[in-house]
Amino acid sequence: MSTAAILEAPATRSQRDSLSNLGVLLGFTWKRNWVRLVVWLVIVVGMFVFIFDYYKALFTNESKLQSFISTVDSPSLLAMVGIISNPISVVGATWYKFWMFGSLMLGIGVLFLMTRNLRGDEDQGRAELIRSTPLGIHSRLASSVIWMSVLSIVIGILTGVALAALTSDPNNLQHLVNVSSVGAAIQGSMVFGMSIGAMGLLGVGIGALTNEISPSSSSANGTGMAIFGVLYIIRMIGDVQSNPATWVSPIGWGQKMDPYGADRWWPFIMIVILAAILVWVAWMIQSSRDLEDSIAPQRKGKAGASALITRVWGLGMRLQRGSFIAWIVCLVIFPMVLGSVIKAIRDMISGTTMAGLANMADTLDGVLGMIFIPMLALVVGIFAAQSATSLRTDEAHGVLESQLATGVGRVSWALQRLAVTFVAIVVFLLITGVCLGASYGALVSDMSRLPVVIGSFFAYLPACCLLASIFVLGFGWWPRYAVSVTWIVVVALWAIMIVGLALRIPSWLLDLMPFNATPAVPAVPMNWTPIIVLSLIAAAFTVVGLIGFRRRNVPA
Amino acid sequence: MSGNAIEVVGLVKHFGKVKAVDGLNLSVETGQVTGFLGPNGAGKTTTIRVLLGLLKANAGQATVLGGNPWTDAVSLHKRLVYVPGDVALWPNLTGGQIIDVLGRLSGGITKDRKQEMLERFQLDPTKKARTYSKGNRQKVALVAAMASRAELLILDEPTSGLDPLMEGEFQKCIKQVKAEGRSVLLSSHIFSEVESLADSICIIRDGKTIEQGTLASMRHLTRTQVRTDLESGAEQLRDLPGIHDLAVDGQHVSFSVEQADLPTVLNALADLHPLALSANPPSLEEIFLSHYHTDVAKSQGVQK
Repeated sequence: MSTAAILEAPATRSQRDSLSNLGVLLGFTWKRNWVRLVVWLVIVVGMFVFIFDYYKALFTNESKLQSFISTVDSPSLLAMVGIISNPISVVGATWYKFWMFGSLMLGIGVLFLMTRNLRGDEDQGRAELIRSTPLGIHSRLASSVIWMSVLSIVIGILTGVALAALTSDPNNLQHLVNVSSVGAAIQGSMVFGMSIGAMGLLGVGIGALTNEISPSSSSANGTGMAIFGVLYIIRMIGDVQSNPATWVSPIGWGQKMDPYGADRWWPFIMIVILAAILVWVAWMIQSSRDLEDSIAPQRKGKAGASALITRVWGLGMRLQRGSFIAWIVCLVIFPMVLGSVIKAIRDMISGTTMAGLANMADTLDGVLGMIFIPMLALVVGIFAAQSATSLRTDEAHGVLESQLATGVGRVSWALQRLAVTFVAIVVFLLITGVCLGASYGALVSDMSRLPVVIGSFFAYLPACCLLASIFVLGFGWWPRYAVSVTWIVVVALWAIMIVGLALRIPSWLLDLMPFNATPAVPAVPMNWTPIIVLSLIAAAFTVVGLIGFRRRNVPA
Repeated sequence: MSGNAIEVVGLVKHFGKVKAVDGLNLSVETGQVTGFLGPNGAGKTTTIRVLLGLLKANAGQATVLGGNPWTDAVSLHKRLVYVPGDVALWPNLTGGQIIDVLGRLSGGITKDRKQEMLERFQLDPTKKARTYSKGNRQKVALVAAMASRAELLILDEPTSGLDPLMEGEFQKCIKQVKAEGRSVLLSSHIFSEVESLADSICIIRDGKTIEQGTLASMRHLTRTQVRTDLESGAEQLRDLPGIHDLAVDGQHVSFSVEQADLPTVLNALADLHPLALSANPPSLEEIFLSHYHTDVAKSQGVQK
């Protein structure tokens, strides 16, 4: 057979859609991820059991439970966490407290794990090495999809089984789950568990897709988080206005599984089908795309640097440009949408005569100050942490050495880069305040609250800076752990804000957390003491971190 | 079937508007080592990634071991191994673990072979990949590749970062591979390595092949550098056919001569009774640079 004939021979059945060596890769994926998988399993299942147990101990009788439910059964909490139709039980209280947070945490965690194994390996050039072996084109994707689906389903089953075991006490059924039979308690518990697992499966689908369409792992994570954010807000609109928008969002499908009430399984099936469709789309894209490529086109750039980016701070801005744009888009859109949610809450408050709704969180300033402003300020805080960690990114990628080998000193380099982060925090708080105040003001035709809302956001400036300074402290002294410790702190703060007292953290300690310590203006009067204290701590962390950075090895 | 191990005809690959490979031809004969040379950015790595089915060609044909690298990637990868020029590893796994994973995927690395290669390349397999230097990361991929019995080795600057001892060990390995009748595509910037290993050489520039053949055939088309000491008569050489760049500095005379005219020129030179004579065929480096300089001149012309 001549060479020409070989060249012209039509390709027979394509092996592109192959899963060969999937078994080996499954083992390899387990080896790389088992610690993370086990930690996620223990944390998610453990937290649900823990919170249930806490409420069971706290609400010893019916009246305590009733009064709890009446305080949380408010429009603003409805917006935050969604509802089930049968909430007046210990399990109902557990749902209120942790379902939305815990299951979205799982969904986003799964997304991150998918990215670590998929786009992350392509970014780092490891996928190239492993794909040069007889490994099916889809084996990497399939291996991640299988492990993360197994994680989600096992978490769902274990949470369900744990709750079933804890609730199926025939003498206390009504108090614990408010259903009439042990069978119904077991069924409801399994629905509860799988509604959490379903959010993990949603993360599998979203992760598979964003990993195929994004040019880098950070963009795969960012796009995936933005999708989760949009789905969250869609269901929020639906829940607050009791309209079908809840059904537009797959997060709403999870809520509508309605454990201990309607006990629906078909929304679970819908989520499985949606995840399968997303994985299928990812699969199709993968069949035809180049490794390390995305559907986003590559373009040529400039041949030289502008004067701006030849300075350390200018380079810091340029390196984070894409991230800045993505954050600004989120910080414009989310407050705008929340404005309409606040209006719906206001309409509900003004239309109600129930004394139970008149608690503080339901005055408008209360809703803004206690819920929405801290929530959005914490989003800016997450940005602050992420932006600060770019210092370590430079070091880990080996480009810090070449910068320090030039005329720039260490402290000067770090301060210039951190100045970029600081200015960005200020600008972002301003943008968020303007957008929330303006969209809310426009909806109620009263712009007088705009400056108050903007001012309230700036109360969180020291808290946001403190998050960045925690990283700086770690960067100076324990550089290899600084990034992960910073993210653990951020997640912990988020968890404390949502779960709060249920963690059995003493309230005085809770009040020390930066975002809790900040006065919840305009819900409460301004108090300058915590603002000053937080600022001093942030400054001290930064100074001590920089001292460490000046003394240590680079790279470390 | 007596096809070539690799046959590439008119390959085109562009990324957006950037043409990385633009009508490239390349062949690797079965059982031979083919050197693959080109300046940085000429398209070597892109070509290799097409051959591995990691990138999809926009036009042209590429055949690897008789199959289509894009559609038959999996079955072809059972018969070839690859060493990238910049090896990235999983930081939390040890070198030994990574070699085993690659070996299990490829099939056909025995413990003995792995051990032999670990010893030859002096790699400590118990260290975590994050602690390896560039050279040691390179060794991980080399050990995995050299321990296999694959029919075809695709090597993209495989020795970048290796010390001269390891470079020597690598050359020994490749000679053994060749003795076993296996084929090698060797992309490299180390001319001595290519000169001592390659049966055939392909030089590319701007994504196009500018020359492929044996070193001897390339020399045939180029000039030999001659240095000699003459007491007199140097100017007579100027009229001979095939002589270029004649330079006379007292007794010292140097010029270059076309390969075809070498016998005539040497005869004429003999009549002038040279005191000393050296004639060097062009090294691979000189052949490469002569192509490269043409390129530079051309691109400067365009800029004007």
